[in-house]
Parts: sequence; C-alpha cells; structure tokens
Amino acid sequence: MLLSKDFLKSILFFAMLSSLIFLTPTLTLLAHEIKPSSRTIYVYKGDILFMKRNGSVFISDGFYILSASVVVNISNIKRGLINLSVSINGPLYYDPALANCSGSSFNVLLETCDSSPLARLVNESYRLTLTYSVNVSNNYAWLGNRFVGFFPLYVVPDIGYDNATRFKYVYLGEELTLLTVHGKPAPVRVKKPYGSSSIELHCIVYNNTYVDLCLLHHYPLYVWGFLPIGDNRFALVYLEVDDSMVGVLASVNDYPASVEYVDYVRVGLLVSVVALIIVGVYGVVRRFRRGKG
Amino acid sequence: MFAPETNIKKATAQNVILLDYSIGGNGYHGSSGTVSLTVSSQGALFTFSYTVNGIDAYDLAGSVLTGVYDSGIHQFIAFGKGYNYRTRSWTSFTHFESYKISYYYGTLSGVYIDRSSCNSIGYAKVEARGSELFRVEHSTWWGAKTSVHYDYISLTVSSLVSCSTLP
Repeated sequence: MLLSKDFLKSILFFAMLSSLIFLTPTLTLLAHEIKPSSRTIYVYKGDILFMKRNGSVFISDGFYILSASVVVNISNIKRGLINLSVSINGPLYYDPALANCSGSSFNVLLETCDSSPLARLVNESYRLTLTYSVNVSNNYAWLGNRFVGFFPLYVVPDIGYDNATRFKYVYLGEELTLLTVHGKPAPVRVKKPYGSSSIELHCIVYNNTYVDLCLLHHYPLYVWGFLPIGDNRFALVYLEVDDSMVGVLASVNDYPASVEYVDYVRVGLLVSVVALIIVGVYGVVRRFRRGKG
Repeated sequence: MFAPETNIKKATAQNVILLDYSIGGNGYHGSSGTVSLTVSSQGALFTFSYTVNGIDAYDLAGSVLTGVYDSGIHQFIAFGKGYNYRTRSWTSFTHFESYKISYYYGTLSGVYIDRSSCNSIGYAKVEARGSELFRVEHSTWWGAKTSVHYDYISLTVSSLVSCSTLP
C-alpha cells in the first residue's frame, strides 16, 4: 500500500515536471509574441474621417474625429485567431462642407477633404470599438464575417527585416507592395522624440491603393488609408504612433539604416581602368629605360 | 517637433494669418548652413530658413497652417494649409562620391477644427497632419558602391484660436 502511494507520488511528480518542461517554451513563446498580460499593445494618435464606399469611390459622410486616440487591445486567442479590438476615442464632429468630399485614392482624399469653420461638435467623447479576428500566422483579419485582408494596425507575427520579402499580403482585395532597393526592403528613417532627445527608428513600407504603412516588427510607425469599420463604411485614417510607445519601438529598433549594394559592372570597369593605367605606366617606364640604355 | 531656426520674412496677403508651421530636414555633406523654403497657403507666401547639418546635399520639407481673418466681423472665415519641399544633390569634383536626393511622395491631411475645448478654455484647436518621404542615395568609388535609404519628415501643424473668432 505504502509502495503504491510512493509510486503514485513519483508518477504525479514526473507528470508535473514533464508538463512544465513541455509547456514552458509554449508559454514563453506566447508571452513573447503577444504579451497576454498587458491588454493594450499599441497606441496611435491621428485624425479620422468617416466614409462610405460606392464601387471604387469613397464618399465622406461629413463626420470626423480630430486628434483621435486609437488603442489596440488583445482580447483572446482561439484556434489560431486572436481578437484585436480597436478603440477609437475623441471628439466627433459633423461638417456639411465635408459631405461632398469624394475620391478613389486615400492620399488625394486626405489632402482635399478640409473641414470648415461651420463644423459642429456632435459628441465630445465619442468612442467606437471594433473587434477584428486576426490569424496569428499570416495576420489576415476578419471584421465580423467580412474578410479584410492584412490587418494594418498591429502585425501579430513578427516581421523581421530578413523575412519581409518572403511574405505576400493582400489588403482590401489588392496586393500590398513592399518598397525595396535591389530586392531588399528599403529602410525608412523616422525621427521621434525620446526622453529629452530624439531617436531615429527604421521601418519598412507596405502600400497599395488603400493603405500605406511603415512597419517595425509588429509595430506600424504610421498608417494612412482606409480601415473597414463594417456595413460598407470606412475610416480614412491618418495615424502616427503615440509618443508613449517610443520606448517599446526603441527596444526592437534593429532594422538596418540603409541598403548597401555593389555595382559589379562598375567594379569591372574600375578594375579595367586601373589595369590599363598600370600597363600604360609600365610600358612608358620600359620605353624610357630602353631609351636610356 | 524638432525646433528649427526659423525666421518668417514676409506674408504677402494681409488678411491671411500664419497660425503654425512645421519644418524639418536632413543634411548629408558639407558644413552646416541655412536653407530657405517658401510655402504658400491661401494666396500668401511664407519664407522660412532652416539650418541643415550638411549644406551640399540635403532634403527639407515644411508646412504651414493659415487662417483667413475678416477684420470686419472679427472672425476667421476659412482655414488653409500648404507644404513644400527642397532637395539638393551633390557630386564631388572627381566624381568619386555623390549624394542623389529625390522627393518620393508625401501628403498633408485636410484642416480639421476641434471645438471641444470651447466651453472649458474658450479656445478651439485647428490642425493638419502631414509627412514627406525622400530617397537618399549615397555612392562612392565612382558609383561602384551605393547605399540607399528613405527619410521621413513629419509635418503636423496645430494652433489654438479663440472660439469667439469662429462663426
């Protein structure tokens, strides 16, 4: 009886030990990748204009939020999908002058849709929360049942500089293009205030007709473009990372500052010119010596 | 964001008021020096000077936020914005080294007015956000070796105006 009790104890001990050994890397990985302990994972500041879509044309409905705070939170993880809730907070305005603003390109719309002094406050502390289900391996998102494509406000799988060219992403039905130099991602240098000084962060640009973002691992430093908010409505966003996140960005700021390459045709030409000069000088010296002799 | 040495020289339209400006740049070769940049908004021209740490090759971008003030009714009747940029490339005398700097793209968002603080402090915020991207190519050994990167310059402009000056 005593023996069997000890035997059971030892089995229990080994079971606990083995589960710890096998589970620890998984838990560490999850903790590293998505930090479930901290619910807020990213914060932006920016302006947002609400739009409807009619075919390829986006039309402002006259509502906008100035200096919005956009907070990305993690909700839960289920079968390879993670819920990222996006909370947009700020004063909501309506401007009849904006209601006629329309176009198909986000950067033209951003530039031409001005509000007027007639804009009126609708809600002083407007809050809109949207929950996107995001695939943890390819970052594809759904809003309700509608497929969005690449989720632009936070990238769940870590995109390192070296593996950035391996992935192809689609956003709102169109492939995202990675800005490259000689086949490598082109580093963009962004200066941000950091403590009493400033820091230079390096990110890489993905864009298409609908969005333009500059990414450092999980974190876009800026996002311009259309964000689907459901019911054929879109938020035309102009967001930059909030200064409170710069410490996090500084800790992962390991993308290179520039792409370097060698033009081997020019190297060949250079070597040929140098060789010709050497041969020429040698010939002149020989002729000079012969002449002396 | 990064305090520039700026000097406003002139405004050609009297009823257009400069509310805020933003200017930024990067210099790459040569001694530090002052570069001027002119930005237009609502028919007015504003000239700024900016010190770059490398006067031979640089990128520079600036934006302004303006308001058209009607002194008869003591109100702003419109707000506007504008941006401009300059680049300068450089090649050494022997062509051994060069900097080629070009504008890639950029934008300045619409002007938005935030009246939410009118009741508390009596001022409203007027704002436009913008940014510019420049391609910087540095070559040595007569173009045999090259490094490339992009510079991002943030150009957000923001100002507080008295709510009594709004319609």
